[in-house]
Amino acid sequence: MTARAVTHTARQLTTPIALLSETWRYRWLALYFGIEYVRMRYRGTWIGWWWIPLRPAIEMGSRALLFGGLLGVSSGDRPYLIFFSVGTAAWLVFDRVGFFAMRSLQMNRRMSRSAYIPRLAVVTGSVLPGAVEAALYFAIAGLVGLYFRIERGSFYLYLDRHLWIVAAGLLLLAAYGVLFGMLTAPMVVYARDVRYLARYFTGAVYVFTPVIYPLALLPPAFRSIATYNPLSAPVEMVKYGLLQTAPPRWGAVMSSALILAISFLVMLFVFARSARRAAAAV
Amino acid sequence: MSDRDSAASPLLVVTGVGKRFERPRPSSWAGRLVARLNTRAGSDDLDDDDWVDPYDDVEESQPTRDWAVQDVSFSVGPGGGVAVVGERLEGASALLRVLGGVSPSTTGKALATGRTVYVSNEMIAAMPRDCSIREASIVLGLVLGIPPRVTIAALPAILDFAGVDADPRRRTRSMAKLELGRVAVAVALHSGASVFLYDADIAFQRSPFHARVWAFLACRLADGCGLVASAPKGPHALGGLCEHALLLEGGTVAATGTLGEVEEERRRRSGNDRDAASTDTWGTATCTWSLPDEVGARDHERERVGADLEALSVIGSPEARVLGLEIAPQESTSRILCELAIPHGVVAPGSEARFTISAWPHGRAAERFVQPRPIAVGTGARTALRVEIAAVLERVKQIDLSVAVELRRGAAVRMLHGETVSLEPHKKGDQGAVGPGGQG
Repeated sequence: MTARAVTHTARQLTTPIALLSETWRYRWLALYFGIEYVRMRYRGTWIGWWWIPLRPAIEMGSRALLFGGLLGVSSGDRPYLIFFSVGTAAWLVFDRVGFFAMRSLQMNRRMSRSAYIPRLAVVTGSVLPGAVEAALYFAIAGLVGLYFRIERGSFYLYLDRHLWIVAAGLLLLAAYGVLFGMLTAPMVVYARDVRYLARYFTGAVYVFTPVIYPLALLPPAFRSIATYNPLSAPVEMVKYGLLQTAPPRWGAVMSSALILAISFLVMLFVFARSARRAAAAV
Repeated sequence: MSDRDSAASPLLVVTGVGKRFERPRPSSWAGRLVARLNTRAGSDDLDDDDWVDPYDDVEESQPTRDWAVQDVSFSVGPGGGVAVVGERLEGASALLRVLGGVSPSTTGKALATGRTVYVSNEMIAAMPRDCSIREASIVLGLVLGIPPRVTIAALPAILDFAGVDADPRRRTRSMAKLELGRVAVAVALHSGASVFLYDADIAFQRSPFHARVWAFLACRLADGCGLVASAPKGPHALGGLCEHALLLEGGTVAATGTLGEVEEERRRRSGNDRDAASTDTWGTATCTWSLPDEVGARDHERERVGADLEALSVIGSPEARVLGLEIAPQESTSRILCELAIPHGVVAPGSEARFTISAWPHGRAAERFVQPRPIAVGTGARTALRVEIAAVLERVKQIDLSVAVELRRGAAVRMLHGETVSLEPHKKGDQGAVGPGGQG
């Protein structure tokens, strides 16, 4: 191992590069945390890992029935179940990543009392459970698409050159989830109230994100809010790439990416300090 | 303390490190609010999505002072060791935790070249409790910055070092806490760190494993690593590993110097002046033990060799003898089991004596195999002191033993039994006594 001088009093990593460099060195640890977060979803249950596909299937079925069947939310010329699956999969990347990232420091406080744990690696490990849940929803969408392929002759999912747009959208959503976690995780260590407030906040953001409805369905007064919601553009990118819905506005995409970049940079500085204080509190 | 180390490009430089515990001020409304927030953030609720950690042991620690450690400065060079001496709760463990990055410091900084690893019992908490020991070791290795493939490759050596006779697939839940602790320490020691921060106040102190750890650290020091070790029971517990020491009192450095100087200062400050003044050192005796040529050639075989160590009688009590050495060659290391029998009547009831055994390769006193381990004898009963030494015996053919005795002044020494232990080798085919190669 190459010897290098490291200022390591509590690993005072005050620069983004140092923080990111350390996270890269501990990438395997981040992967371990991600696996643990996934296991948490079924730990202590009787049917075990079957809950991983079962929960999304039950949730999606019930919500698709509610919004598509009972409320009649339009999804254009495609089955609502597929529209709902794709949109929800995209949203879950942000929601699940943000949820586990927000709770990561608190969940691992026992471990962090006994050894040095790189805080950002703990937070970034949350990407895995988000990816797993999103993948399940995409898989369900694929199965439903296969069904319709047989029944109606159309798959309704487009797996073509626009897949890179899907990947970019998912990446943006995961990054926003990590950003959300970096902001809230140190605060959650001090006060559980932050978790409750965060849920209400993400719930409100969910309403103004075109996850389960096309953007065009919103009244004009709210459409601009939804359009420039930083999460709307990535969700629209995913839906456009897979379902060939209306493409997102480039202005909305660029503003979303710009907000993410600036916020991430600022949060790296803030996180380094706040995570250190949170470590002291732990 | 650090001049030589500094000149040789120190591995660790600690400057003004301090750690403050943030304590709420209940007298003010803000303090009460903070205290309430800190209390409530401890445990999980039972929401559907909540993760309830079955091992969540949120503790409400109540520090006795505002500063755990304050303004500590020292450096550690290649091959150097620093002992952090102090009674319990004086800040030794807190200092090691700060240097290891487990706990953030409040002031000061520490510059390390290479990687530091904090080695303590507490690392068990970093190991998952519901998995195989293989996975638990890999996870702990990840926490310490070791890639999984390195830990997997070193796993047999780690388990062997830990003395855990376990299938790597064995579940950690089925293991005792001490066993798991040994594995954790073994993983940390095999992490390839440059500086070891060893919290010696661990559960398995005074055990063969502890001696094995000491021998391992001695080898690592010889390879150029550094060591900072806590010594709550006094620097004598650290033996020849640490040349320098610093004494902590109330979290601040009360004294620095060599190990002996700090120990003396510690005794003086602890109010045990009567011990220091009234302790007579009877003397030390050293003998050279020549090992049979066959030692080390066979695996998993115990051989008991002995010798008439009358040379030790010069310590003033012919009754204190080293009974023998039990050698158990095991692959790359061998255990030397040293028994010191103190027959009845050597020390009068109510008095206190301390016997210390240490061993090292002949002529290489700096490479002590085992730290001196004082054993208090207060009742005059027969006491058998068993010290296990881990050594690479294929490189060592002669071992020097030293037995030192300290006795509190005024104690009566009586010889109730004129025992003379004659030690005979029990090795097959060898009828002659393997005697000492020299007498001290």
